[in-house]
Amino acid sequence: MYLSFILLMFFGQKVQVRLMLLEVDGVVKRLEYMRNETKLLSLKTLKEVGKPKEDPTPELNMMLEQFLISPEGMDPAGLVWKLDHILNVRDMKFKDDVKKIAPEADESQVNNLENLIEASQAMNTIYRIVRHFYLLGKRTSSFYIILQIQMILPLVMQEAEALVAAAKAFSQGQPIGDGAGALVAARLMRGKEKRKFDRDIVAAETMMEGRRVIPLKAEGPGGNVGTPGDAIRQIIDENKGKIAMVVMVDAALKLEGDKTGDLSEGIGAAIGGPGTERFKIEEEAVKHKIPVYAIIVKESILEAIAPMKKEISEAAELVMARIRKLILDRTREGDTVIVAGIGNTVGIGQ
Amino acid sequence: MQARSPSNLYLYLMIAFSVAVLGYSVWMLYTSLLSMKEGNMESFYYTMFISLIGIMLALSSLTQIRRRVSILPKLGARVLTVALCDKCNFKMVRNFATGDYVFKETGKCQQCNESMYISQIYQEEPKKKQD
Repeated sequence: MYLSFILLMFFGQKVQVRLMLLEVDGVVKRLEYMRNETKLLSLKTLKEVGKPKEDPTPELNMMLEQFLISPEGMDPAGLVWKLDHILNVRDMKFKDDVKKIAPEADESQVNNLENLIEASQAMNTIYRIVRHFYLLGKRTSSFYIILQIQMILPLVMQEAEALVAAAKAFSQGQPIGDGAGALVAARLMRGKEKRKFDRDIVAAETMMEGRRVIPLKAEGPGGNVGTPGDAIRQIIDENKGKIAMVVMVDAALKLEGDKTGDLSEGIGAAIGGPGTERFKIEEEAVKHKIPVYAIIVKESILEAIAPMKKEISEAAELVMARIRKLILDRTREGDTVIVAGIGNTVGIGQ
Repeated sequence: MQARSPSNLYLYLMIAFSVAVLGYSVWMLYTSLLSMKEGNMESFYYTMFISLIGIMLALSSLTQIRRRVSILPKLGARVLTVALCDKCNFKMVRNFATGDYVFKETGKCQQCNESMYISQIYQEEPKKKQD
């Protein structure tokens, strides 16, 4: 009894470190398996859809390790435009690289492949980071290094499982939960004449309760988020600032306990990403004193990038009712309203 | 290249340890009942308390492991495509096929011969097991 107490006192932490290392080791192997699965899926889809003449594996490996260096923030003036430029270059290069290894793929297939490789890339990064902390912890036997990674393992695994589901959805072109906003905009523009904007955005014109409504979304059905900020700016400029309001519809992360597919209404630009698009919309809205309203569809991180759930798909109808109410309450007949459907439009046409 | 299946050494160790703790706790529960029969109430309370804590911890650990193992199969859920007729609202639900997308025109309606379109594509909720 006393001996075991003394042993635990001196070796307790060592035992704990060994146990934690064993747990992290299991997770690293699971992540490696998931990383390999997503990579194989990317390779298989590339070969099936793109029909490359040479083996795309070396190119794919290079794309999986691609990185982006954010602009220096010591002098924040003009930082948004620098980041926007870097993101544009990155997007164009990534798309060109995909086109090179998938020469037979059409535009929407290229977009799906791009998203699929991005999911594999994210999976690869997660695996390498966890492996880094595992090996560092093992080498130094440092309780705190291992503890750091062991504490966040459930969250890391949740994200990794979401990425595997996303890769499967992108490989088949299935709509994902993040497409809730795009689905609403697509419903509004169905059967109407479409107009293309720069960087993969489409818009149309429709009437609702006597108001002119301009719905816009990324061009589907390929996996795409487009640059809605630029399109909204252009539409506002074309209408000389005479826009009664902008309604943004997007999927947003719910808190544990919230119901998937529930709606929330708020004020401000509902758009994720690195922030450049939100900045553009806010700048333009302030310049012309245009109110920006947001309607969000609640979902978890897994639901956002996994194939769309029925509750999310059916929430589109409820969002339409909310938009109608907002338009009736906050605008007058003859006004012009922009409805921006934000999110990845994979598997959603227009 | 085939992706290597992940090792589950930690998981098996945890299961073995939890089952061992559960077995030992049940045995302690039994000895506590024997102590009660013999009238040794001090030993009864002590072993009963320890055994109940052991059972609770082992069951909680096993449930946690079960939850962790059951996450992955959920990812292979079925995806359905719903085609709708614009005119007569005839609805057809089928398995998702590559190339399907929402608002794609998809053949003629079986009832009124008008064109149908895909109105929804969603992931089917896995059926919950009956207890």
